[in-house]
Amino acid sequence: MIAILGLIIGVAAGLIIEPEVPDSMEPYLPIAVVAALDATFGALRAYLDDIFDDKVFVVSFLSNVIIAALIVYLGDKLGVGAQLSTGVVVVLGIRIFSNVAAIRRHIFHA
Amino acid sequence: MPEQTEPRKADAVEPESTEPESVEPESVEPESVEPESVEPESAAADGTESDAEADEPSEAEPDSVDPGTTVAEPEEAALAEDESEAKDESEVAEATEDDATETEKPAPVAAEPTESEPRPEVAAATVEPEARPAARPKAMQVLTPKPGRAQIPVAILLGVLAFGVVVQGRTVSDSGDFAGARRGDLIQLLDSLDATRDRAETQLRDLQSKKRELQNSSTRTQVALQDARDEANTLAILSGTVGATGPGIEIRIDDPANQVGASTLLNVIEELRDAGAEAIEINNTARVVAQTYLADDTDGISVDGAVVSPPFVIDVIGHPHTLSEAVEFPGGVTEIVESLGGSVDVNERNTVNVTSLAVRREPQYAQPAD
Repeated sequence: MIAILGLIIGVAAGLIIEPEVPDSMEPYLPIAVVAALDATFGALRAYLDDIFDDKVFVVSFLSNVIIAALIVYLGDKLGVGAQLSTGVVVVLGIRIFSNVAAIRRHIFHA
Repeated sequence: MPEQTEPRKADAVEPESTEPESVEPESVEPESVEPESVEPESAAADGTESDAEADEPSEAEPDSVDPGTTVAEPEEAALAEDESEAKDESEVAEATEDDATETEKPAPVAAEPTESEPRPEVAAATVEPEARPAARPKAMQVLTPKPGRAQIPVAILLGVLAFGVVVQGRTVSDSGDFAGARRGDLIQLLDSLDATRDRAETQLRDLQSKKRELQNSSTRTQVALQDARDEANTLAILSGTVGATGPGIEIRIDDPANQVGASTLLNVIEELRDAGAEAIEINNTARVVAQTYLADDTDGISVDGAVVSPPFVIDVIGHPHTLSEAVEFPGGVTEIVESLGGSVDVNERNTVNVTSLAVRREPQYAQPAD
């Protein structure tokens, strides 16, 4: 419940504050969001598997976000930022899909 | 006793049932600190679940007779096995939360059920009914309140995630239609826009030159029209088809003796023409133009068929002083008329109106020559 509350508060904060994303952060935010989504779905799956651990979630969430942003940053420095961004999104997308598939099996048994 | 058997069953069942819910974490393995490590098989859940489900019903009925005793023997081996594996697999299990792709990795776990298949059959049957019902509320628990300190960091991170999603969504929607477009698409778009712009510029040039042309031609047309109008006005005044107004003189010739004839009047008209008369009218009835003829008539003088009789009043448009000089110079019209017993009176006027129109003549024989 607290988690859902946090979700709602986050949405509300985003809508109310309407922050401007600084230009230097602009390429990293979408990737970070996707990475965080991946971590979140992984956590949801783990929760359904009864192996959820908040410490693991926090660490994986932060490391996911940081590493994803780092990869994109590195890609930008090497001149392959767009390609690496795509790569990161693809990998994270695959993981999200497999996690969601597991969650689906738990919920619908199908 | 039930406490002991419970974990055993659960443990034994695990590999087969692969339902994480069937186990209570604390009771099974005190050594493993983290609750996740208890269920190694959960990692392999995807692959084996359907198998387990298929097996369960068939085996359950015959074996469910004696749950406690039959389980006891194989269970210890299983426990030992599980303990050793649990440590390896606890890593895997933990990893699954972090890394879903590793679900393939725990091959030994997935394989385990085949080794121990004979062993847990019974337990599977007995425990399953307990575990099964628990499975369904499990999913629901996500949505039900379950207060705990652990949820706070989770909530914070989820809030951060939601915040990020909203901000990013807003940024993307703010930055227009092309923010998410791919480079190739953008280049193509740019190219097509360039081509369109080139076409538009060419069109613009064409249209501008056409506009200039039309303006020139319309200017020419207007000039020609103006010329034609001026010409028409001039001709109309000359031919006496319109009235005329302007500065000029008014000449009054009194002829009590009736001695002034057509030739005298013609003299007057010729003098006036010589002085630059532009429009001449006699007695407000006869307009004098190029083809006007004068003839003596019984009642006076016939001007283009219209008879005028003394006193003659001649309205003339032209330079007033020149005209009056032309009439009054010594040996001129005035003296001639006075010698005939009449009198001439000349008045210079700022405005003289010539209202009568000449007889309309269409050229019958003459044609314009090239």
